[in-house]
Amino acid sequence: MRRQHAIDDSVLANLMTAMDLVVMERQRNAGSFRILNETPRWLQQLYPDVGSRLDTVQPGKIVPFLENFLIDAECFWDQRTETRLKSGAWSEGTRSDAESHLEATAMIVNGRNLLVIERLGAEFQSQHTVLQRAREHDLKFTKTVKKNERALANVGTQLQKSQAARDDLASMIDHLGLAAIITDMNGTITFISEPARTLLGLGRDGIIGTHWMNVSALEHRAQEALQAMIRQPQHRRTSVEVNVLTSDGKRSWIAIEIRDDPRETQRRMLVLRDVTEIHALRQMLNEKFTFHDLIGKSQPMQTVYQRLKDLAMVDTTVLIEGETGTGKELVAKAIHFSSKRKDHPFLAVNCAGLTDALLGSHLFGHRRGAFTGAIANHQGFFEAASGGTLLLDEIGDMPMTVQTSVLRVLQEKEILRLGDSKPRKVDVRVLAATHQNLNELVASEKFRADLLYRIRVARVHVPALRERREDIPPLVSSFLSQCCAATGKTVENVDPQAMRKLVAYPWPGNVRELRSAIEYSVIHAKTSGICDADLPPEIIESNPPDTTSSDTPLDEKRIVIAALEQTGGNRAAAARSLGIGRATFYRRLSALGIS
Amino acid sequence: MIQKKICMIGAFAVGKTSLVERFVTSLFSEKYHTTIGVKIDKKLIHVRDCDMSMILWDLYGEDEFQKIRASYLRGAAGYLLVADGTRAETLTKAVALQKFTEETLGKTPFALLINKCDLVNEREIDRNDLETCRQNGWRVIETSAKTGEAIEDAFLTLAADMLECDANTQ
Repeated sequence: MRRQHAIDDSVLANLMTAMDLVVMERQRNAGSFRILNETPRWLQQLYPDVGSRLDTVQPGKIVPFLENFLIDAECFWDQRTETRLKSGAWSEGTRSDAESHLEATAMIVNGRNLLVIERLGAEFQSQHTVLQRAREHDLKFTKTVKKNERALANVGTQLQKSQAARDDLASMIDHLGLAAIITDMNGTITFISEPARTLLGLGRDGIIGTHWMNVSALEHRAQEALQAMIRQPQHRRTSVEVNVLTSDGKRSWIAIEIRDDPRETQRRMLVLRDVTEIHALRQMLNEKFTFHDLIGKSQPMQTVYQRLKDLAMVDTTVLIEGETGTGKELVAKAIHFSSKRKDHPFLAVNCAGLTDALLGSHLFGHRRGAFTGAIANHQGFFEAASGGTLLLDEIGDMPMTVQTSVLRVLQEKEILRLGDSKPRKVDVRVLAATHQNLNELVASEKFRADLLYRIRVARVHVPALRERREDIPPLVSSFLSQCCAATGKTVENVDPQAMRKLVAYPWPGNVRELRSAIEYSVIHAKTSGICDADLPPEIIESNPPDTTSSDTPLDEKRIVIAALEQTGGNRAAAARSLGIGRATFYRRLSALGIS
Repeated sequence: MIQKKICMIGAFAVGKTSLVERFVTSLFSEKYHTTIGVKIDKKLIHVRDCDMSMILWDLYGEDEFQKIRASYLRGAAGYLLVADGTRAETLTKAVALQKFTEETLGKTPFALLINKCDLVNEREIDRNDLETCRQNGWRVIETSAKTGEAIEDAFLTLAADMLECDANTQ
């Protein structure tokens, strides 16, 4: 049986050659091997020193790689601990031929020491391809990782620089005390300066990343005001003053200015200013020292302000009394603009110096053809002031016939245009002003008593300036600012001596005269302050203040006489020197009994 | 004729095979072609009035797939450590391989080649690190298989060092 399956040696040799194997058996002579199969051509081409017909070769001398491997192989054959020892692949090639890949194996078969040299084929190529791909992939991956690392490092550096710049800027903003908030396009806070935190009473944490609407200090009304302002284009935005309540219960007023980020218009920069003090001062001034355009902190004026506030609440007719120049028209305006009629017209008509027909036409209007020259229908002041307020100034000089018509308007709430037969309903609040004593006029039958009672439902007496001398400095300051704005001059103050004269002067022309005096002084001022010499002559020449004397008609009489003496009896010049109108001057002469 | 075995050692893809090919055939290919096992080549040179046959053992680059066998280094008269100037980690690998080689062969002439020196903008190996190597007595040569820069010089210098080593031993 064994003989039947045995393979002939030549068959085995041919098989080994076909499998690109060379099998050599170690000889007794060190380094000598006998080739057991036919020497293949590829081995002869690689190593020409291997003869085609040689049976015995010394591979270590022919193949440098084997010289190295045979040292290990000798140990292997001597020790006989394992069945085979592989050399690992090596490559050899000639200049003209393709590279060959070989591997040697030392073996012990049936006690014979064998050396097998194999030409590696497809399996080696496959292994090479896999390794090549793995390494190419590794190289590519490493390159990508490094590129990413470099990019990351660059970004990191840029980020560090940006953060450093931002920190510097933030500390500068804090150092400057600038309260600022920056929001992104969604309204989320991305930056808040320390002063802004303090102003809004916010803690150090939890604000960045919060929507600005969720800042607890901003109440609903403030949020609405800010949102309305944000919707405006930047050039139309103004500062919004909001009342905030901080977590520690502190209320304050903050002016918030909203700006677009120049780089990204959806981002906002909010600049905050604490205006609590300004707001309080403004409110105090508004409440105590002024009322609309009226200026004065004296007790008489405080009484007037309170009266005006009361009258603003009702819709009655008011009689405003006071000397000429005391500001009766301003009082009327104050009543109108603090009343519910403030959004409707305020009209003032001077009843003095007009004929009854002309005044009647002015007040009630006329129909086309009502009189010569009435070429069209004309609306009167009562109709023009519909829904608002009409001031009948100098009502004491109103002709009797017109007084009758006015009384009818007040009673019936309707007017009749001249030449018209159909009355028209009017809704007008009537205010009347006079410097005269209407009781005396009634007594002398120059004024209708029933009209007086009708218009004197409520009364306001506007004090003369000499009755409220402490208001002179704030009035001077106000007129100074107005005159400087009008003339373009920079006059900032009044020196103490000049101010003493201004305060001491009797002001027969009241606030109107004071205003004229300040205008005169600003025009004549040589420096940034008004001095004694810049004042009008009548004030310069006025007697020094007599603290013992009171503001009595006697004083006024003395002032008027002095003015007449200074002008040589010229009444017009005397009136001018006192800063009052000629008609007023004549009335004062009559009232004071000066002939 | 003197015959000397010289090993090319370094991480993979540093250009060992390209350096040998440039030295032996003056050719260069941009394509990376990995080596499995060992490539044996031969170059005859004339140095210091001697003819020398350099048997160049281009060993595979070491990585996690292939570790260098100590047996391959046996009998080497000198070696060239190769690093890629654009990959800093290959210098670290070269330093480790030098230690391994010296443990295997003992003190043997060698030179450190910083290859791909033509890729100036991609350079990663710090010149200070090279200066440290020089201060440790290493011969450091910057080469480019692509341009051929300093390659002849590197091999001839190593050959001269080997001869000098032989002379000192005798």
